[in-house]
Amino acid sequence: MTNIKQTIFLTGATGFLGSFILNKLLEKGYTTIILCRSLKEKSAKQRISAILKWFNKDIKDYPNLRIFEGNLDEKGFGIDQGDYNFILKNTDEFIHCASNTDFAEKNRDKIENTNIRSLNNVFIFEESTKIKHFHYISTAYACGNVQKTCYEKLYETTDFTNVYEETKNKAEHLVAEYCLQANIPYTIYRPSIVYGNSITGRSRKFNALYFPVKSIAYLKKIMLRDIQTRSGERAAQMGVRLKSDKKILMPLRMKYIEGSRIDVIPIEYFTNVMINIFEKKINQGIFNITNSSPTNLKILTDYTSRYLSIDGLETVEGEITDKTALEKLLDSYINLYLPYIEDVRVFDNSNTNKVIQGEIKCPELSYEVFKKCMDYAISVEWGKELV
Amino acid sequence: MENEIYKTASNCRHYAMCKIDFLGTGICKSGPEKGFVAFYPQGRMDLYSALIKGRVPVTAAAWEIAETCDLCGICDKQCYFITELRPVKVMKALKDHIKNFLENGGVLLETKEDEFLNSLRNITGEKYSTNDPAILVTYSDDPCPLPPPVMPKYVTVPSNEEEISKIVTLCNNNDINYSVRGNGSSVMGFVMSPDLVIDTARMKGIRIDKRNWCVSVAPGVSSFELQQTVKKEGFRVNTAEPSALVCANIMCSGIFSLFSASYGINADNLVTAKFIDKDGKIFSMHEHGTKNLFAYERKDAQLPGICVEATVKMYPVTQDEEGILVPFSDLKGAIEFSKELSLRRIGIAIGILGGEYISTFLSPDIGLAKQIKTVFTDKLDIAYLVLIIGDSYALNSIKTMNVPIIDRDTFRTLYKGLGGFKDSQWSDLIKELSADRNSFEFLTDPSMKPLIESVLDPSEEGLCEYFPNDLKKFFIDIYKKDEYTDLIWLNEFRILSSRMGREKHVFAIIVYLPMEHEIIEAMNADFDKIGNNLGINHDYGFVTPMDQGKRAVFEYDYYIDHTNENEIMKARQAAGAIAQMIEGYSAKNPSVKWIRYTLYQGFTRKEHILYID
Repeated sequence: MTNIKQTIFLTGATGFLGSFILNKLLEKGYTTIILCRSLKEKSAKQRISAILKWFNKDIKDYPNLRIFEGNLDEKGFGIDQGDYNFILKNTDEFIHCASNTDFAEKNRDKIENTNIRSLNNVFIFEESTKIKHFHYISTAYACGNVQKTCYEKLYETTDFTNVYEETKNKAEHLVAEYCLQANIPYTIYRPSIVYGNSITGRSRKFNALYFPVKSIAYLKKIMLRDIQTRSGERAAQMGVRLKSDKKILMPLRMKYIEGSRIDVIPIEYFTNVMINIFEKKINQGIFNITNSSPTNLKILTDYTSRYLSIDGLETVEGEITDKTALEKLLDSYINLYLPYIEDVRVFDNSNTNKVIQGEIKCPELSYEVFKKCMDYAISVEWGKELV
Repeated sequence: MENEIYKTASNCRHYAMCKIDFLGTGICKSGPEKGFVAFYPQGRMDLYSALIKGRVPVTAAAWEIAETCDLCGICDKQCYFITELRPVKVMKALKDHIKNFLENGGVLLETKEDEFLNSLRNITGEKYSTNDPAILVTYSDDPCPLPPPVMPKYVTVPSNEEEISKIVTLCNNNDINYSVRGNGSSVMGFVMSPDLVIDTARMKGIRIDKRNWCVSVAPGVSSFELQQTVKKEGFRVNTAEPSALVCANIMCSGIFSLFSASYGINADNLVTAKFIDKDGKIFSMHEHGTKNLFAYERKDAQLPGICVEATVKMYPVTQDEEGILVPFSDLKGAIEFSKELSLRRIGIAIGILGGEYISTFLSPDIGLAKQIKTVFTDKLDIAYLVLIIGDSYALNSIKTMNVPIIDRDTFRTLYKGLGGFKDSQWSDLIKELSADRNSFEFLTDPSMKPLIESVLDPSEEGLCEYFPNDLKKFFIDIYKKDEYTDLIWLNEFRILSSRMGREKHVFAIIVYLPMEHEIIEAMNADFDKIGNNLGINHDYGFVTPMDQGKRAVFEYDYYIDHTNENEIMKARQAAGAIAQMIEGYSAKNPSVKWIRYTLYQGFTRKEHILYID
């Protein structure tokens, strides 16, 4: 019996999660159609080609990959009718991964446009064709600020940490409503915070977990330069100095809440679980792809200290007054991610566990894994070297 | 190599910065001695270019012009600072050209004195009137791309108003046309003449009247010279670009600057002025029965006379003044803030500058400017900066308005640490950290100062890293002087704005209009469109509110390579499109007034220009 793989229409293939989904789909032999924008001087095809190269793949080896240069935000995806009709005719299932992951309220309009309004174009597409299943990549945090446990269900709430969560929640509702009304089976995937590969350290995005480390590494570099070339006067104003053991003392306090958790998962775990669930076609399934043993700020601070060889990084319970310039600088970032750093929510992942049945385990974020990820990040200059 | 030298020579923008001592080096010795622009570096650049192109023969004056350059190198410093051109190699090439000509048997052409020239010389003295082509050619061009060059037959450099009066009478009697030339840059060809050009360069009188807080200047005095003189007495004047001659500038367009926010424009700064009329008679504006030069008519006016003295107001300077910058991520915000300041009479000088002000104008080097250009706009969200100069009361008021402020110290740090912005890690960091606020707020948070200094590592040495090795030490010493990084001094003397033409010649479009964001933004977008459609470089210039925020002066700039035929053609096309655009706005909104219609009416009351439709 021939195992003919279906044709999947994937959006967001140039993004972090989307690129790994694409890689997995190709490895599994799916015919994949991608909608992608050109960027700066690179065409859509060039962008995808570069991404595949990162996965040690040559685009030429995948005749079953079709790339269309267009834009989800535009009616008809901004592509010509012929191409649109081709996609309509050939799509079996739709994985909608495209998303704006910005948290900033000042960018609300842009975020809503991508995460909510562009769904209109997706639904119009679906109306014109008979897709067999719609897969929506959401976020675990679409549940909003629930008291304790986030279950794998739709949440009716207006209490969110930021516009990203809010739009993802709204989008889930729109997807569910539309698919029910159109009689299209759907599945919603809710990953928590995703970082690089726990085995190789490789990643294509360096925010969230990476950003504070990057910032502190940079600040260390600047302080060291001041100490080594300018007598360290400015560093001293910020309480920074070289200790007798030649380690740098860089006092940086971060507020910590006892019992708080940071739910991070490596990318290979997300991809493996997502594809596993995807292949099982569970209608109206909502799946939290999260870590049953999340880490916390204390652990990450310790890892960062060890990795960067810095003394003075510490977590402090309670409010910090009299913040230094360094603390104020990091504060802005910390404030944005504070709800995720001080999170006391528990993500119920019963549905996920039922599906994967223990076959896929979430790796622990040990120091070794942390180190691998940061080593890789530094080797690609925190993503600058990546296309 | 020869091509490079020719390219340097033909790229002279005629900003005449070689005629003012803005770096404290002194200026070219032969220039003031001889009077003609030909004896300044600017003129030598033009002469060399003309000789190579075969526009003029090698004459006795050409020899003298070459000989009188002692290759002191002052012009290299001056010109490099503004345009990154190095004129000394042109001076050397000029000398070599003449030397080779003579060594190959060439004979210097001696021009014959005709009757008219003889009469001119009887007025000015033999040395100060000429018909030698080597000198004439340096008055034949205006790098503004619109008019073609016009070679005069004579040039004269009188020393006082009596001589000018006699010259005018002489011209009338001989049916000779004349134009009066200031420092001759970008005045759309109006300072060129096929007959006689009168250069006022020798008339350098400045007379301060401290009791009445005013100063009288002769027509050869530049803005820089005037400002320098009055500053010593604790005053300031409203001036134009540093090398622009005060009287000529008033004549052409009236004086406007960022200080117009409080000092106004045109007649606001004027006490009186003295002229030689077309009959050679002297008259003063304040006298009864003379032509009413305060009046205005919206038409292409005729020269009312030759301004031989202008008496302008001096404004007292208090010791607690400071210059600050307030960044904005959009033009609307900047306009509304500036309007509010103007309404409340907060600040002496107010100007909305483009976000590239820091990278383009402050940067010592075009290469660095290009590298860091997008840092300020894209990473730091600084699309516009409102520059304010005010006393401590004004600045305290601004602090209560809850806007981010780049104060004097931070400005110095940014300026001397410009090279640090090349480190994209820093700007990327700031961008990512900014999330829900504008990135520039990190720069303006006082507690961030030690960190910003650590990152940017400001120093004169760091800033001058981009200067050529032979000029490095000189400029390190320059930047050690407070004034070169002081917003007040930089704007009083308008030194940095001279850099706007450093890549290409600039032609500025000036419009008076209501201080309303809708119309300013609309015109800005239309100016932008014209530049884009024609493929010429262009950029927003500045907006300054006036008259308590009722009106504004808006400058938009276009840049062209004035040595390139294709660009010249595009500039002419742009001029047509711009004219049509502005006239269109004026037709719909009579409060929009193009400065073109103030030519030769720079003495008028601003109310007559702005408020009488």
